[in-house]
Amino acid sequence: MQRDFHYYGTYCAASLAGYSHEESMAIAYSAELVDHCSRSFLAALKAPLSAATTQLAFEMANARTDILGLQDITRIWASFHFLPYDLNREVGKGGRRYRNKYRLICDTNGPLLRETVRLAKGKGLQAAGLAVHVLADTWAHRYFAGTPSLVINNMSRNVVELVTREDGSIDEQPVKFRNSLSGDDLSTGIFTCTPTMNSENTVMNLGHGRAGHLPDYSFARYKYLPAWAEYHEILKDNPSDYYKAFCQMVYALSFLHGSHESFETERYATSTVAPWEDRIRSFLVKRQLDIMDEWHALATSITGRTLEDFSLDKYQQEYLCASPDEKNDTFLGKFILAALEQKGMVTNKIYSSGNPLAGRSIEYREGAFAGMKDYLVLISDAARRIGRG
Amino acid sequence: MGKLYRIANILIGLAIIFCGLVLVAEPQIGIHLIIILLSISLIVYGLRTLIFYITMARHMVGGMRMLYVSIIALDLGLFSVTLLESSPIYLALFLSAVLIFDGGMSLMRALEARKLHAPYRMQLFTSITTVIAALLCLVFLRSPEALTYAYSAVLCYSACLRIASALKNTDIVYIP
Amino acid sequence: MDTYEDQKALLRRHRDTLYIAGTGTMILGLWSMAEGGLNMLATSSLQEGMSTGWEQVISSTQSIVAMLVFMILLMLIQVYVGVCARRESRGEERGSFYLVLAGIFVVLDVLFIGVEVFLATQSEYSVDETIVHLTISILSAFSDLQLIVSCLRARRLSAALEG
Repeated sequence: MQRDFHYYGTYCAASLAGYSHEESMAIAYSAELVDHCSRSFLAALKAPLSAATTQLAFEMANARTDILGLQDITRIWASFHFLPYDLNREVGKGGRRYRNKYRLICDTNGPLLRETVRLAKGKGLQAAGLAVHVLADTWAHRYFAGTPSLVINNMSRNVVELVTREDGSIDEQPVKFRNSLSGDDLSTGIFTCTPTMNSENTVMNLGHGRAGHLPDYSFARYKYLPAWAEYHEILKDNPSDYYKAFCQMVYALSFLHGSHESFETERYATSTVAPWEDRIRSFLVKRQLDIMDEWHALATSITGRTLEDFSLDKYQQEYLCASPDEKNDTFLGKFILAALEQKGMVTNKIYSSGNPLAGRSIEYREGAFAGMKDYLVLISDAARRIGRG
Repeated sequence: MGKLYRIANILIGLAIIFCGLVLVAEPQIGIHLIIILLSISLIVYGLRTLIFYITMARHMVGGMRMLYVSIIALDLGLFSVTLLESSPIYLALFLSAVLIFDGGMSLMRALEARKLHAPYRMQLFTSITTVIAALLCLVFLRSPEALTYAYSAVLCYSACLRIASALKNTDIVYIP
Repeated sequence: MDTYEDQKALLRRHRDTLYIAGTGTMILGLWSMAEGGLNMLATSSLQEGMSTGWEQVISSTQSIVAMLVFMILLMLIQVYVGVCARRESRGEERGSFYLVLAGIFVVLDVLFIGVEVFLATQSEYSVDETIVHLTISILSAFSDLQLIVSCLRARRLSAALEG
């Protein structure tokens, strides 16, 4: 998903869930920050690099694709953008290596999503924002895996976009892909994607690179053959999926706000969103590169307030100026803690399922002190929360 | 292009230049060396692709292509080995055929990229260089030494192109 | 395969296999011709001719030229089979003549494999050349067989789905 949904959409969802304007802004900022919190960003802040929630283009270009490099890539992308659906899924084909990759395929309403949202309970607005970013991406990025893999993330080139004409009829328009930075041309149906590479572990086969930005456009409805699907055609209906994602975000944020006791999968706050349904559905189908203005207008309609634009350096000074003891209480400090928790949880789940693709993991709550020192801060933070509670 | 990738490309370019100079120093065995390297790389590529097909790609949509690619590459590599006992003229013909095929494929990719308004010039230069190398093989068919010198020149030129491209600021196509 | 969607997926699989087998047949046809041609050019009479002058090449290679023409013909037939297979994989009706030709090639490939194996038992025959020829012959037979099987299955499924 793009900024229009992660920032403005999340603000709308948080407002509908009962958060105030300031709280909703914090949640929205955190949700959008997941797409920007790279190692370079953290290095500039002298913050723990293990808290990286994304990798920038030049970081990907420099990324190693040996075993350790692949594990590092998988830890980031599977934890924050391609949450695996079922780590113990019966695959029914392929050897162990194939099955491990298959089990990282992202989809909605999996057990890990429940864990993600519950993990954010009581951990602050930043954790809430991070959790709903992960939730939203399970809808946009479903059917792709957060690990470089040709045999999972590739797709046939016969992609067909379903374009609705003005008279309501549906036109099947073949999608053409190119490997350049010219951007996507909606009028001619030419989209940018990563180049074809027959190597299994190249970063060009990470996530939805082979589909370009199609999964991130709310208007896109298209049919394609994913590499893993045994020639079954997938219909990706982004307008419908994005609306469900929004309703589920409202539900999740209601849970985090304390409006109800539990968070379960396959539940959506459709009644809360119902007054805005027609409006949301109308701009989700708009064939535009982004719909930030539409989401912004909706946000203003819901709360009567104007949102400030997302600015990456908004909270940096606070973090830089804080003393070492106070850093964890700053905005970015809390976000970093939330990121470390999420990454640790997902990596641990993947490792515990017998899948080595995200590397080794320890259960820090059980008192082990081996592993990355960045994660030791979670032990002291947990102890501090227990002390308070 | 990342730093590691740039350094790797520069080192590969320098290694290719070194190989070109070795060929110039030993022109009598130059063509045989070229064929040996070609056959080793093809056999290794064929075996790797075959193993990949058996373990992973056969479960992938369109994965059968890997089987054909691997067998053809393997066969081409083995066939190259059988040529080593043949006369240099025959080797030159074979090398020319391989280069024309490779140059032709590169040219098709470059033209396709141009049609989609994507960067194509580097691919086009590479394909032209390869075809020139193929033609030089045909021109110097009866003189293996001259062929070796010509091939070395083309090799060094393509290595320089690789180094120049590594030093240039480029963007990569990556979808976050 | 019970459900309609499963059958459609199977049809796509067969058509994709048909496309790949067709492409493989074309490439193998081109490669076999190139390999055969290069092998013939490597015979001593032609090599000797090439090193002394083109006039001697023309005068001493009538049978080789005839063989080359025959090989080109075979290659063109294989390319035709491949093109028909690729077009049928996209849903065009292509008749059955190319399937008959593919079947003939399967028989020829099997015969050739048998001959190669027999000749390989002769001590003066080169093992590495045998491996090369056998590899391509086996792949060619596999490709043609796969082409026929996937085409027939695709047609049957397509008829069933339309019916």
